[in-house]
Order: sequence, then C-alpha cells, then structure tokens
Amino acid sequence: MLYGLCLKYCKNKQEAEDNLQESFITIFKKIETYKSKGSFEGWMKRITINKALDRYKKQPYIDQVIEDKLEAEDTQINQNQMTLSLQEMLALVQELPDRYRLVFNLYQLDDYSHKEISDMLAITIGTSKSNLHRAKIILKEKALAQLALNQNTIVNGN
Amino acid sequence: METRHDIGKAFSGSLKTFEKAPDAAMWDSIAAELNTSSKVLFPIWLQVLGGITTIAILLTGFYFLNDSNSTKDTNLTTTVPKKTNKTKTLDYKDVPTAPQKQTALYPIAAADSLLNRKTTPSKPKQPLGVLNGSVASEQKDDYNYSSDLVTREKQSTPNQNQNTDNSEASFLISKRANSAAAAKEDLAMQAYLDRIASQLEMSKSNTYRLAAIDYQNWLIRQKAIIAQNNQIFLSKIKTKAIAGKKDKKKKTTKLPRTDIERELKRTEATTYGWAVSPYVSTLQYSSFVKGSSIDDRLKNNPREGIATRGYGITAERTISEKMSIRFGVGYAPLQYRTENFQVTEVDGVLNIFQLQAISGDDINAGALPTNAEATAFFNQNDVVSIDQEISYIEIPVDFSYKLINKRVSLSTFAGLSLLVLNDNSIFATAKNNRLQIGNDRNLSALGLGFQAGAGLHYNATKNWRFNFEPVVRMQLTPYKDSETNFSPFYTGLQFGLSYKFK
Repeated sequence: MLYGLCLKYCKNKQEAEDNLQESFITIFKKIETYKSKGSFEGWMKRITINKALDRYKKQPYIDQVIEDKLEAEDTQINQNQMTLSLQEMLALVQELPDRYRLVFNLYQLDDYSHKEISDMLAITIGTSKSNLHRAKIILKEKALAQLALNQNTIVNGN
Repeated sequence: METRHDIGKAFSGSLKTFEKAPDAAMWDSIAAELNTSSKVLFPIWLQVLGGITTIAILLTGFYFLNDSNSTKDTNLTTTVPKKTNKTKTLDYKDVPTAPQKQTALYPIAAADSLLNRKTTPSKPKQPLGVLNGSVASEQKDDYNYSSDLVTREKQSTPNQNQNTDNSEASFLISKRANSAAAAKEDLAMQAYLDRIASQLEMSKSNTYRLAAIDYQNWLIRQKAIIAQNNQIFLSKIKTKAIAGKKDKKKKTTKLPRTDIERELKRTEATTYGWAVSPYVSTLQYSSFVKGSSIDDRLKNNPREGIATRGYGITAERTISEKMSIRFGVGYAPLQYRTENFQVTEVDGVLNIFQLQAISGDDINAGALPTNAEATAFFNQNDVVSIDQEISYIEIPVDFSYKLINKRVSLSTFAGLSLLVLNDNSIFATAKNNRLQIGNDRNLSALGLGFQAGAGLHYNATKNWRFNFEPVVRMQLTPYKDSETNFSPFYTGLQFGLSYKFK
C-alpha cells in the first residue's frame, strides 16, 4: 500500500524507495504516538504522504501560470481513447513537475480538498486549483502523445 | 457517440487503487536503517552514561567472578566414603545461575580436587561423581564398586577434605584386599579413573562455558533493564518536548510565490476599508511673500523658519480601490526667527515693544520694562533676534487618490484643515539667552488651512503599511488684520505607519 503511494507521489522508483524507507523509519520512531483514534493504515498513509510533501515542496518552483488562461483550456478526454496501461499512467504522473504532481495526487487520488492542500503546501486555494488544472492539461497532452505513440507502434509493428 | 470525461477522473479511476510491493531487499535496507537510527535516538550524554553503567556492571561482574575463583578452595566439595547404596551425582542444578555468586565454580573445584588426587598412584582414586545422570550410569557399568563409592557431600574446610581422602583410600584398599582379582580390578580402576578424568575435563570446560553463557545472559538482562529505564526516561523527555512544541506554530516550508499568489497578496495588502495612521513630521515655517507678520518694517531683516517636530494621527476610509477620505488630528509647533533687530530707546520706550504685532503683556507693554530680568537682558544685548513660537492643533480633512496601488503605492491628496491656535509667544533671543517679550496679537485663534501632498506607501502586509508623505499646508486666514503682508505656510515631511482593516 505505502510503496504504491510513494510511487505515485515521487518522480521515480528510486525516490519512491527512499521515501518509503524514510516513512517507515518515522513510523517506527513515532509509533508510540499513535493514539488508535483513526485507522493505523490511515496513520501510516498520512506519514508517507507528509514525507513526500516535505521532499518536494522544498524544491523551488516558479509557477508562471495565469489562472484565467488555465480555466479556458480543456481537460476533457474521450474515455474510449484512454487505453493507457497502469504503468504508463503512473509514469505520466511521475513526470509531472513536483508541485503539480503533489496537488494532483492529493486532490485526485487521495481526495483532499483544495483548502486542505493549501494548508499542507502553504499555498493559496487559488494556486492549488491552478496547479491541479495545469497538471491535468499536462497529463492530457502527454497521454494523447503516448496514445499516439502506442497506436503508431501497433500500426508499424515497431 | 463519444463519452468525454475529465482526465483527472480517468487517472484516478485507475491509479486510486494502485498498489505495488517493494523489492525484498528494500525491507533489509529499512531494517538496517532502523537499527542505525535507533542507536542515534540516544543523545551523546545518555550514550556516555550508558557506557559508564555498562563498564561498571562489567567490572562488578568481573570482580565477583574473580572472587568466586579465589574462594574455590574454601568451597571445595568432595565425597565422604560411606558404605551406602545411595549415589549422588552432580547436576547442572547445582551450578549457580549467576556468576557473581561465590559458589559459581563449585563443580570445577570438585573436579580439580579429584584430578589432583589422581596423581597419587598408591592410593586408588575415589570416583567422586559426574555432572549428569548419564555419566553416572556409565560409571556403574564400568566399575562395580561405584555404587558403593560414589557419594558426594559438601565439606566446609580443607582439613575435612584431607580426612575424607584418607578415609576413601583406606576403604578402597580394604576392598581390594578382599578381592581375588586385585590386579584386574586395578586395571579396571585405572581405566575408569582415566575416563572420569576425561569426563571431568570435559565437564570443567562445559562448566566454564555454561558459566560464561549465564554471565552473558545476566549481562543481557542488565542491559535490557538499563535500556528499559533509558526508554522510560526518553519517553518522559519526549512527552515534555511534545507538550512544549504544541504551542509553537507549525513550521511550513516557504515556497517562492507564483504570479497568482503575488497578485492575490498584492490585492490583499491594498484592499482595506479603514486605515489608522499615526505619524511624526518635521515642520518648516515659511512665507510666500517677503514680509513680516510682526511688523512690515522688519521685511528687510533676515528671517528663517526653524525646523520643528509635530505629530498626529489620521483615519482613512476608502471609497473605492483608489480613492479615500482622510480625517485626522495633529499637533504642529512652528518657529520663525527675525534676526538683527537693533534695540534702541525711542522717546523713553524700547522700540521692540513698539512693533505692530507685539503685545507686551508680560513686561510693561509700550514702556521700559520694570522687570529686572528684562532690564538686565536688554542692557547686555542691544542686537537681538525675535523668535515667534506658534503652535496649532490641526484637524484636516483630505481627499486622497492612489496613482499606483500596488505593494508600493503612490498617492496624492489635498484638503482643508481647521487650525486651532494653541501657543503664541514672542521671544527676544541673544547669545543663547531668551526673554519673552509678549504675544503676536494679530494671530487668529481659529484659522483655516489648505494642504496638499503626495504619499509614498509600502504595503508590507495585509494589515500594515509604511507611509512617507511630504505635505504643504497653507494658512488661509492666519491673521485678524487682513492687511498684513505675510502669507505663511509650512511644509511637513510625515513618516507614519498604518494599520489597515476592513
């Protein structure tokens, strides 16, 4: 469970393993602070996500996105087109810029609200929304490119 | 028909439940890291304390171990030859479990005793026993007399041991004398004794080994106790530290702001309903025309305003993003100096008291001062400066317009002020001495002023702003006598801080 989480939040396998290791060390160190108020699984998951956030939100990142412009761009995709494998989708998520990846994972995969994300990453709600939108646009572009590549591979047999 | 979905949902549908197990080597790495990090958990001083404690325990254990070795002679145990069918064998239950006890090497002492006796061939050796039941059984098989001979009791002193040896020897000899196959028995006896000696050697090393194991176990237990105590101590420290940290603000990593964030912050910092702004100002009094408020005849005398310091507070109410109205109250002390006034006596009256605006209320206006201090002053100083000290309570109302409304903003403002005369004094000064010679009777108690200025502001945060505002305030109705050829104004450089709120 935690390794899959690390793979989604980190940019590659190596960093995912590093993150998992750091998470487990923290879990064992702080296990006495677990108060049994929530599920243990959820507690471990939060620690793992926090580790990933600490890892990547330290990276300086200059966001040049203008929100108005973003809102105009389409993030819809034809469902029938989405024939990417799980590994391909994971790779596309990992290729996202750090903060986009964090926001996308938190919002889309782990159901955090923009308010919660803004608190966790010390950004505004607007920034969280724009980062998510930008992440979707990048994913869409890359997904379409990957689908075209796959199609080309099938047609040409390469 | 195409079904379009948000790409985020398409990804979440697949990746939300994504799970994968790490490589097996990953767990080894985590385990190794955990071991390493668990050691780091102890601070240096605790490690030193633990080291000292461990050394102390080791030394204590070593001391008791040596003590046991040194006292083995006094703890010798041997057998008492008795014609009895009872056979007592040594067992590990006789071996003390803790090495610090003095009886720890008791079986070894017994073995040593027997081995020593073996070196005397004239006296058949008494098989004293073995360390376990199986050896005792073998003993019965190899030597028929064993059931009669092998008996072991603890003796408290070496003398008793010696007596016991003699008894054993006598007993053996008498038995052998009654035997028809003494030689054969001797051989059997010798073989048996060799075997016993071998077994005792083995048991001796076993005993050392077991004692060492016991000692190690005991050390491990002690270390565990120390570690447990340390853990309790650390838990208490952690609890205190956590309690102390609860009040501290959660640390968050600061990221460079995006354009949107900057815009939001700027909007946040420049959007407010009210602003309260205290300020201090440096004031300079002056006139638009070349005249004197005291007397027109002084228009050719050198004159200058003297810098003073005022203060006040304004309340600003925004009308729109760029416009606002300000109200306030301030204190403006002003000083104006007319120099090179020649004091002379004209018709028995000092000319300084004959100036148009002078109201010599304090010192015999219009005549020679009878005040001793004034007489002395003018006798010593015939050329003096005339200093006016005028202060107003200002109540301004301004209209302000922001030319630039960003983090650093620029504004301009203009308005009217009600000026309430607060202080009005005229002094003659010379050589650092001053004498009040009266008041300017021409000054209005209540006047009107017009002010205009510019403001440079730095919106530091949502609630705080720094201000720098040069302002010019022209007095519209400063005098009762409108014919006075003097148009006073004063400039101010205001420095202030605003607290903004909705």
